[in-house]
Amino acid sequence: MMQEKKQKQILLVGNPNVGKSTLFNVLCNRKQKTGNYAGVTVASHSGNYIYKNEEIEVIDLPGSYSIYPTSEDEAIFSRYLIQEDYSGVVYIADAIHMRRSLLLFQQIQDLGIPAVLVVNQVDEAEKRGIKIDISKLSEILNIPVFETNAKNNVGIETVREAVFNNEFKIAETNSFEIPLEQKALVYKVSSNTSEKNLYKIWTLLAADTYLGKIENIHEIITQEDTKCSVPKRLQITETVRRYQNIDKITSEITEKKPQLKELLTEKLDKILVHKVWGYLIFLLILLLIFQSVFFLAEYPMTWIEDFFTWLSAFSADHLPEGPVNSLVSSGIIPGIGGILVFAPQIGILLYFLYLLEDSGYMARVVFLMDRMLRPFGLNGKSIVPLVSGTACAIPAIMSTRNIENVKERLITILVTPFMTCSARLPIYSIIIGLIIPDENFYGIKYRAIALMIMYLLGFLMALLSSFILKSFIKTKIKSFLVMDLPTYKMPLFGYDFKLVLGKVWEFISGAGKVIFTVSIILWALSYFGPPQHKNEILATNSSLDHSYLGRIGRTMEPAIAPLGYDWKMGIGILTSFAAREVFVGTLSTLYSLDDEAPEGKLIEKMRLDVHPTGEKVFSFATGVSILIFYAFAMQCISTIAVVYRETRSLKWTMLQTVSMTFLAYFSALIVYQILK
Amino acid sequence: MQTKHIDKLCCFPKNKIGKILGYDNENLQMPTKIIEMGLLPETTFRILYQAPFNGPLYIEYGSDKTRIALREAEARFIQVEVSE
Repeated sequence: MMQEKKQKQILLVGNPNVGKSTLFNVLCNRKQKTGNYAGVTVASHSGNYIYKNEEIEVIDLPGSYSIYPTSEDEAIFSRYLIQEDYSGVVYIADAIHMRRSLLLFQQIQDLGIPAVLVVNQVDEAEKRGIKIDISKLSEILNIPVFETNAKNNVGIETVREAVFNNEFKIAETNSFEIPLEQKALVYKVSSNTSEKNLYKIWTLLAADTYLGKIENIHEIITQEDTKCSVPKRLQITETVRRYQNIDKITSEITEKKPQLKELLTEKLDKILVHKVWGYLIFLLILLLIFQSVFFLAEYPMTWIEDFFTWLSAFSADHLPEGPVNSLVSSGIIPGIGGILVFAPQIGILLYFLYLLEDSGYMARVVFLMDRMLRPFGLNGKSIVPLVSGTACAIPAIMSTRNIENVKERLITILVTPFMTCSARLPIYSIIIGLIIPDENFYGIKYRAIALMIMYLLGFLMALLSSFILKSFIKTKIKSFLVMDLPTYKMPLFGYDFKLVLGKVWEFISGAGKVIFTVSIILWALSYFGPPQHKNEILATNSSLDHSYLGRIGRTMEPAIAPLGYDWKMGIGILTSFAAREVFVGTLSTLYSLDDEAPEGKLIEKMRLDVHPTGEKVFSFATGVSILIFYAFAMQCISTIAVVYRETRSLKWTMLQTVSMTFLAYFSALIVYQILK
Repeated sequence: MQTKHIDKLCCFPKNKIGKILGYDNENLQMPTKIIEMGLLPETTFRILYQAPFNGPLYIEYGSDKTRIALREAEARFIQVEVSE
């Protein structure tokens, strides 16, 4: 038998919240976010598995309700489905919502795409008294149908076997009859081109955006032809007719016993979307998260810090005297340690956000916040990027793809970087530790209050900028909110924990690489200096003040002195232009390199550092000025890149970076000048 | 014969079972997503909650008790009546 050269490629397709990503994860054993909020799968992900010596590539497409896209992620879905090459579609239907699931499924069948049908969450449906006759469904649709329960790994092997045996099937008859009014036109296109699928031609007429490709289509269809067929009206006709057909099918395949028991979702929503309690609970959840970020993380942070202080001292004692010793023990180790210490905080924050998404709670937050965000030119769905922005702006900006309205999406992308991301935490923690005393106010720590204020400041700035942007960005398209409220699900605690570990490792290794390079460059610039004697080409082991680094720092002092910064902080801001977290790593390296600085932890060194005049380097005014600078400054190359990719506009990307930097500089300037 | 009283979904009383009659969509301003989500004529529904200050409506509909959030502005397109 001939070995197939091309790898078999399957697509996972379905509505949002049907357990598509969960199925992807059990199929592929590959790391990828599963979520219970419409739009967690923000891009198509691919993974693979091997079954009976055959390697299968699995593409997980964003969820959609129909092939006619209304948002960016649905557009990605439709384009991929119609334009790409693949072996077949594994369509995942939700047993609880068969009716809605079948709409998209029949569109896919009519497009002539080979598919198998998987009915997922059968156990959940049975809890609701819904019993589905799988064999009857298979008979009516004339396609293989499988039952699964992806969360508990039930039925997965049968799906794998079906894929292995290529059980994908193309429907023989169309479930949607082209309406009489358009029939002539559709036949005209069909007879003039190689396209014989009538429904595919119909979708060209019915879609607002260009979905598929048919050669010379514009020569065949004249404006006269399309005059009386408004795409939107055709979509409505199609959807209504399909549902009439689907209702017949569902009544044949489902057996529903009266369900008197109130289910968990019903009970929970009485409180969670309540006019008063709903908001209070949301606020409490946020408070709980921030409280945990600070206090649960305290112990592991001390361990990591102690370990690196010890490691640095150990390598200083045991490595031979000379440049290598100085590079390792004063450059690399403190630089890496300076960032690793924040891993616990970042991990805790991410874990909570994952749990909130998985459980289905985020959709309720959208419901609660929509009215509040609308006056700012935002959509209720903007709350998801804004909240995830407290972890990292990059996935947050990608998650804006399910916001249908272009204007609301653009504003959300532009303001999300103001949210306090986890890379700001290291800076905030250390500066707050320096300038705010470790005292309580009726049991609440001043430092916790200060951190809370920083988070609020970011959020308020995001709202304020949205409000300003709202009047600059014009659009004719009306904003709307039509959003599924999924049933609550128990989050996969262990699975999410693994995901968090992966993400934290990504953060550490990503930042670690930059910090590693930066520490070597910093070390070199500080180890060498301009020649002091005539017969020298280069001064080595020069004191920090006389090194090249000191020189660079002093050159930029006029620009940063009005903000209250000394040359070390200047170097920190410069090196952290690519990524904020590098600031702390840089300071850590710089203080280790300074032979005159006292031994001990970074924060102690910073506390004891004084100007030649005897004043503290990190005074209250300087500290606040740094906090403000980092609250508003862009300082993140990856975010700039993702904004450009998502907006496809150099203008908005530049405008965002430049205005954030200006805002940061001048706010810090004003604050320092007032407080000093 | 008694004439039916037609309401709009946005103004329909809470916790009362209603039935969708059709749409007020002459200018095609209504998001097609409403229909795609299965809010079709003859579907029964119930408004369970509404977010404060005329915020979105929380609606349960159909025999599978699907739940969605809709703004008042979108709900205005949907014509409904009290279900007997």
